[in-house]
This record gives sequence, structure tokens and C-alpha cells, in this order.
Amino acid sequence: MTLRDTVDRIARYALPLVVVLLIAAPFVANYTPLYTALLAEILVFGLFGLAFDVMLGYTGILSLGHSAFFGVPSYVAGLLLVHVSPSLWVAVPAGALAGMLTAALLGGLALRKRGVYFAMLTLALSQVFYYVVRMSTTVTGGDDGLSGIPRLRLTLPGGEIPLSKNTFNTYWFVMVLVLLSAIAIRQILRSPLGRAMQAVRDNEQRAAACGFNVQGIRMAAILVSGFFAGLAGALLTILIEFVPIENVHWSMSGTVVILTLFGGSGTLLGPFVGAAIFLWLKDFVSRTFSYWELVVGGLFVIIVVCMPEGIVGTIRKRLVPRLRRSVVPRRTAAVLPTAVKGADR
Amino acid sequence: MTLISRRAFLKTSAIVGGAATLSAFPYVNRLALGQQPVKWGSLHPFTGAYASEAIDQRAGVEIALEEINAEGGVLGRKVEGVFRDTEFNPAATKRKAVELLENEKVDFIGGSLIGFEEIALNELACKHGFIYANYPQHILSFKGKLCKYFFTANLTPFQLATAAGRFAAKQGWGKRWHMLGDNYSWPQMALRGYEKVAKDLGADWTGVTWAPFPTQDYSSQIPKIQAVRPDVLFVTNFGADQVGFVKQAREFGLTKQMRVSITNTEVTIAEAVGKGGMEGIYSGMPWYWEEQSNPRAKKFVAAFLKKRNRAPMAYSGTAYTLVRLVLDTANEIKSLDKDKLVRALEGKKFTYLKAEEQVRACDHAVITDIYYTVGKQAAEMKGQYDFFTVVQKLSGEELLESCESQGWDPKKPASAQS
Amino acid sequence: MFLGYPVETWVLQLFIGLVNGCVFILMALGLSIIFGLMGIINFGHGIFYMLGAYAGYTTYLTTGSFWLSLLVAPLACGLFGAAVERGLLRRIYTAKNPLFSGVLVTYGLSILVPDLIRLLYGRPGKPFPIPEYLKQGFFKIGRTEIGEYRMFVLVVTALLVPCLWYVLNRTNLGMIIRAGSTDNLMVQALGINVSRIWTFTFAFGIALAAFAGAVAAPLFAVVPEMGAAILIQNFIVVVVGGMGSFAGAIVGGLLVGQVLSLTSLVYDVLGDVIIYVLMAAVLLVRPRGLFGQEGVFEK
Repeated sequence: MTLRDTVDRIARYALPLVVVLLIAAPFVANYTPLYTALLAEILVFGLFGLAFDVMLGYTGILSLGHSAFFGVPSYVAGLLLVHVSPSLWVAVPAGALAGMLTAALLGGLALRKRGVYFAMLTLALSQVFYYVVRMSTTVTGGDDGLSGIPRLRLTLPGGEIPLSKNTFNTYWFVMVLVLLSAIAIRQILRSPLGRAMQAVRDNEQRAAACGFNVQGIRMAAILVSGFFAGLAGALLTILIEFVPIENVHWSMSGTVVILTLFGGSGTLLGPFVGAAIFLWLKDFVSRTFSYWELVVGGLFVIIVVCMPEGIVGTIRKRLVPRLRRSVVPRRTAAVLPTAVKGADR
Repeated sequence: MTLISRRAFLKTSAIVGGAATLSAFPYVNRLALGQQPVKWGSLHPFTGAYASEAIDQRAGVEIALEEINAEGGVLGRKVEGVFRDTEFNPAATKRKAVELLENEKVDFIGGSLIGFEEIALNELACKHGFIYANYPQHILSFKGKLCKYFFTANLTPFQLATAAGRFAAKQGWGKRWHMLGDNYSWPQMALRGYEKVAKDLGADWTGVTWAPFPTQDYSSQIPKIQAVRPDVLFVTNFGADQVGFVKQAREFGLTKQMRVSITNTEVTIAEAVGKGGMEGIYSGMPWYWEEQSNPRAKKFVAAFLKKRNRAPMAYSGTAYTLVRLVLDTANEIKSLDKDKLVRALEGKKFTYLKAEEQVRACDHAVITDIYYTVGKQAAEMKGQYDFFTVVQKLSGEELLESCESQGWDPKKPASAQS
Repeated sequence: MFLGYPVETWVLQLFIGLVNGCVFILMALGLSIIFGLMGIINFGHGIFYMLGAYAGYTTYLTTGSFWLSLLVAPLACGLFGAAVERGLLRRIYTAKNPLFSGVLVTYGLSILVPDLIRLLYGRPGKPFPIPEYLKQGFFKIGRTEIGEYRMFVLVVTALLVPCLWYVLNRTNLGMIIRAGSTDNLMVQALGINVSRIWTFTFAFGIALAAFAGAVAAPLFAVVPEMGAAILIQNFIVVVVGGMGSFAGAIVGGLLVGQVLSLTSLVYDVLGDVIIYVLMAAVLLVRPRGLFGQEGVFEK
């Protein structure tokens, strides 16, 4: 068997392979520094990053207000779990919808402006959400965060699956939703709408001249982004059974920018790789060296300066063409890993 | 177009790869050990605004563990501390607590320095069922909030406030009282104590001036306070906020016009204010390092000075006390069973760094001395960390909020009620 | 009496807002100049404010001279700023989207540098007292003593701002800086070494932030986290005043200082909410800010 065939085969089974790996991960994870609870959080932040990148990487809009798209839904999910129903079937969809609504509200206002102005506007508006959450102490718990989320279980037709105190179940629940969301985002990006977003990103004038409704497409990107960011927010609430005020603070927007660009903007895999490296580094470095921000911040600066395309982006750009040249000359388009293909520009 | 050079890329991957290999070692080592040690998981915010306090807190925990090991360990087994950074973030706090329980298989978790960490860990303690040793102040004494596995050796904000009020009344500083606080849960709880003590002692309570949390600049709040013209100003903030306040209070002549009484201060704060900066300002503390009234305290301070080359904070002392309290109790009852430990700890009397203290059974608050201190002049200071003189120690159950008013039956322990 | 407070309290708040506004002005001017010329949203501006305070503290500790610390802080930090521009920022001007890359590099710095300071100086804050000869009360309104030091901050800013204005508007250097911000290529075509000008501009903006830090240090707590909070407030100042506008930074600084100071009499976090709402409103209604040039960044 030649190298070519091996690459071929791996590429063809990339998605099923990833699924199997993700399902099996908890059985190994706890013997490694990438323990299960951390893996679940990586998936959630990866999804958040991907949702953010629908705007930045695929539509070319920098938002500095994603803390609202993520934080408001995490509070909505948390409040529903505390006061209304401990059912995840209510909290998760409600979170995603809340994300979309927040995005509609914030995006609708901010969309009137472009570029830096859009970024600054989203920053300002998202901070208004932060102060509203912070001042409504009786509802949200204010600075202390929202506590009192009951023991969570997933009700299925066949019975109940406990999530609290069962990290594996929580992980699988989060994993399934994140995987489905990632596939859905991939489909959206490959749909005519997704192509239109990329057209707007690449050249707005040309897109407009081709008859695209540029503002409409931007709004659609914002809504998609808000929906999945909201879903990620609700999942974080379920994961940690607590809603920290940090979720709505602007530093959360900073975090999502960082991990997306760390991994590589404009790639499906990038935000997940970014989240994995960012969260793992934080977790791992902080165990032995309490100046982890020095390490993470330093690495980040290096990556932005030396690898402007991020980790996945750079690997794709430098490594994949080489592989393509040497080992996969024929059915290139059909067999390249999905993550790479889906992100083709 | 800047492209990454291949060398830079290889370097990055080498660093990441190397780190991954290193990290695998502890897991191998563990298998090689014979008898499993007792594990004390400990979570501190080494990142963020309270990082300096967190490091001194950790040293307190380490000294307690070292002492216990030197005395023969817990149930004949060695005790080992496993430390994690909470990253000053509740999500990371919870995740790492789970990691400590599931991967490290710790027997106890101690931790936190700030409200949100405390709340998150308290909830987790009941969901997962482990003894949670809470190092900072007790802000969960209400029924419905407290998990029965929660224990602390620190004060409640209510207790500090009532002590400050009584101290002010005893000194005859005047009847007109006011509070300045950062607007979050800890000062809000202290406010309840101030209002209660003002009512009990017949003082004229003029309300509270809130500052946003965090605040480094109180210049907008100070004129407001001066317009109220109180005789005594109680200040409830912490860390860098308090440093800023003390500097500005002096600058605006506040310290000349009224008595300034700080609800809770720390050695690190006095250090950042500068020598003599705390002069004439009164403040409450759970413990102060120069009060080495018993041999244990002497030993602890000496060990701390050796370890950190600086004076211990009150929070180092309370963390030390709590670790010793929980593990010594386990040795006494010869068991690590969490429910047996809860029953043994509720109502337990203990003496470590201070005079005798007691865990109140109904709400797990601690009946203990509160040290009332006054800041020294720069010229009076005998050493680098000799910031305060202890003026008085206030004690007694009457300083605490009553169990009834927090929804508890005072006759029964909390574990029988929740 | 107005809203429950005597008139002199309101007058005092006006004065305190003015002094706080001065610190904003010094910082925001740097931020605005860097943004105007280089198009970089400097998320690292807060750390240079912090570095200024630490540089001032170090000088004060070693030499005992407050005046020297006011001089050393901007110089040292300005040099550091020049190094950052040459070493890091230079590499991203040609990136696909220099604006985004600029945000990211400076954001990365804002994570990294405070930890570096923690490593070098330790974590507890550092004592930087008001110098003895500026410690007395200057005048009294009602029961509040306004210290000489606050007056000093006011006077220093009042003297510095016209000098800066002169440099930027009446000297060749200033002319080149302003020209470079409108049409970079044209300036280059005239045979001017733009690259050196950019280094200088960045260093200059940083020096202003560092000076603000050193001046403010005796009033506030000197801690590694001190830059984070003031950074966002300065963004608001710059946006409200107009990105890249000199007058805008001044008016914006005074306005934000007053809003924060006056509203604190009513409700503690009201000021914070109002300034964000103000920022959003300005961006929506008049995105170039109160004094900005139209269409500079409307791409």
C-alpha cells in the first residue's frame, strides 16, 4: 500500500473516524491531561468559536460583542433550569433561540455600520447587556453568578440519563449536540447562502453588483452566528451547572476572538483546535507555573505575527498543497478532509 | 504577506509535543506507589486580582499538610496536597474540582477566595458529596444555600460588621454611622450586620454609599460621604480597591474628619498602601500574624516566614486552621467518611492560632475572636510587615447572625435540617 | 440642594470629574494618535499606562525623585513602545487584514505584559505615595479638601495639551504625522521615511499613556491589573470624541470624566451604563464622533 492510498483512505473516512474518536474519548481522556470535563468544555468553546467565525471568517465581519450572544442565552438556559423546568429539552432550544434573538437585536442595530465601527458598536452594545445582567441581582445573582441549578438529567422516551455527577454522560450529550451543530454549520456554509456570505466577504461591491442583498446576507450570518453561539452558551450552563457573570462580559468576546484566530479563522476545524490548545494550555500550564498568561499570551502574539492564518489555516496552506502534489493527484477534490474542503476559498 | 517560517512552526510543535510527554508522567508514577496517600485537593485563584493572596493562602495549606505528615499523617497514611488554579473563573473552578475528584481521586476539597468560587464549590459539594473546606469568609450561612458538607474557619461578613459596630460604640466615636462599600454580595451582607448593630446599639444609621465593583477611584464617592457628615465611616472593600480608597481618603482629608473603620483588611493591602499609610485607620481581621499567643501560632509564623520569606496573611492563617481542623478531626474519629466527619465537625471546639474557637452546629459559622487593629505610623514599625497593633479582640456568639433569622432551627445541626 | 445633595457637593463632583478627565485625555490622545495615523486599535494601551506607573515607581524607589519618575516613565515606555512597533506591529502592516491583526497582537500583549510585571515585581501592589511637597490641601469646598496633587494633575495636563497641539499642528513633524494619516502613499512619494515616522508616532502615543500612568499612580493603586479597566473607558473617550481627532480626545475625556463623576451621586454603576450607551449612540448617529473627520474609517 502506498502512502497515497493511506492518505486517500484516511481522508475518506475522516468524519466517521472523528465521530468514533469523540465517542471513545472519555475512556482514555481521564488518563491524560485532556480529561473528560476539559474535553467537553473544549467542544463547547469550539462551537462558540465556529459560530463566531461564521461572521468573521466566512462573512468578513469582526464582532466584539459575542459575549452577549453567548452570555445572555447561558443566563436564559440557567434561569429556565432554576425556575421553570429542569428539562434540557426546554433549556437548550431556548438558549439557541435567545442567542438568535440577542443577535437580531444587537446585530440589527449595529449592522448599519461597517468595519471598525461595527466592532466598536457591538462592543458597546454587548456591555449594556452586561450591566443589565449585573444590576438585576435578584434575578441573575449579579456578580456572584447564577446558582441553584438542580441536578440535571436527560429525559428520553426510554428513561432518564443522569448528567450531574456523571461527566461521561454530560460529555456525550454535549458532544452529540456540538457535532450536529458543526455539521449543520458546514451545510449552511456550503449552501447558496453560505456561498453568498463568502462572496460578501471577498468583495462586497462585486457581490452587490451580482445582485446579492448584501445587508440581508450579513444579517443572516449574524442570526446563524447568534443561534449557535447561544446553543454553546446553553451547553456551558449545562456543563458547569452554574452561570458565571464572565459569560456576558466583554472579555468573553476577547476569548472567542483569540481561540478562533489561534486555530485558524475560515476553517471548520480551526476554532476547535484553537479552543483545545487555548484551554488545555491554560489548564496545563497553570498547574505548575502560575504565570500561564505569560505563556498563552506570548504564544498568541507569536501565532498572530508568524502564522496569520492560525494553526489549521497555516497547516492547510503549507502542508496540504505539498501532500496534494505528492500523494493525491487524481481524485483530489473528493478525498481531501472535509474540514479542508469545506473551507476552500 | 507574512508567512510562517517552517522553523518557527517546528519550534512551536516541539514545545507543545514536549509538554504533552512531560505531563503523562504523574499518571505513571501513581501506579508505582504502594499505599495510597490521603489527598487534599486545593483550589486557589492564582490568576487575577487576588493572586497574591492566593499564593499566601496556598502556603498556609502546605504548612498544615507538612505538620500533619510530620505528626504521622492521617489514619497512618501520608497526606498529599494537589493544587489547582481556579483562573479566577467559576467555570474553571468547577471543572478543576471535578478533575480533582475524578482523576486525582481527592478525599477533600478546600478552596476559593471569592464569592463566586465559594458558591460554585458549595453547590458541587452537595451534588458530588465531598467535604468542602472553604478558606474565605462564610457567605452562605442561610438555610437553603448552605450545603451540609461546607465548613470554614473564617468569619462571616455579618460577624465582622457587628464587631466593628460594637468596637466603635465602645470607643465612643459618635453616633452617626455610614458605610461605603463595593456593590456586590460580600459588602451587601456586611451591610446587614451594620444595620442590625446600629439598631441594637441605638446609633444613627445614615445608610450606605455604593461604589461599583471593582473601583480603583473613590474620588467620586468621597464628597458624597462628606456631605452626609458621619462620625464613623465603615468601609467594606478589598484588594486593590481598598488600596485606592485608603490613598484617596487621606488625600481628601476624610481621615481627619471622621473615624475610618475598615471591615476587613490584610497585610498585603497595607503593603501596597505603603509604610504608615494605614496610620490611624481601624480595621477588623480574622487573625493577625504578630499575635502569637500560643506555641502553635509561633510555629506557624516561623514556618511561613521560612517558606515565603514574608509575613503570613490572616487568610494564610485561616486556611491553615481549616486544613488542620478537618484532618485532625478525621484522625480523632478514625474515619474519612464524609457524613461521620460532618457530625464530628458540627459544634466542634478547636484551638490552633487563636483562643478557643467553635463551629456553630446550626449554620457552620465559627464562634471566634475578631481582631480589631489600628494601623501604625511609619516610624513605629519594627519590621517590614509590622503594620498593625491589635487593640482589642471581640468574641462571642452574639456577633453572629442568629440561626433563626437565617431560617435554621438553632437546636439542631445543619446536617439534620438540610 | 439638588437631588438630595448640597450645591457644593455637585461643584466638587464637577472638579473631580475634571481631574479624572485629565487622565483620560492624556491616555486617549495617545490612543487616538496611534489610531489616526496607523489604523491600529491599540488594545495594549492599558498595559502601557500600567507600565508607566511601574516605571515611575521604580524610578521613585531608586532615586527618590518624583520629577525624575515623571520623566523616566514616558521615555522608558516610549522606547519599549518603539521596540514593540519595530518587532511586532511592523510585521502585520502587510497582513491580509491589518486592522484585525493589530487588534489581536495588542490584545495578546495585554494578556502577556501584566503577567510579566507580576513575575518581575511580585503580585501585591506597590506603594507609590504622593510626594511630600504636594501633599497639602490646596483649597476646600464644603468639607472636602482638594489636595495639591489633584491641582498638579490639572495644571500639568493644561500645560501639556497646548504643547502637544502645537507639535501636531504647527511643526513639520506634526504635519507629516497628520499627512501620513490621510494619505500614506503620497507622503512616501514625497520622499519622507514613513516607517520611521510610524515608529515615532507609536512610541509617542505610548509615552503619553505611560506619562498618564505615572501621574495617576500616586492617586490610585499600583497593581498589574490597573490598565484593564481604564482601557475600555478610553475607547469610549476616543469613539465619542472621534477616532483620530485631537479635539475629540479632549472633549471626550472631559465628557466621560464628568458623566462618571456626576452620575455616581445618583447610582453607583449608572455612569458605566451611560458611557456605553453614549458610545453606542454616537456610533449610530454620528460614527465619526463629535470631532472626527468624516469617512476616515467608513470602509
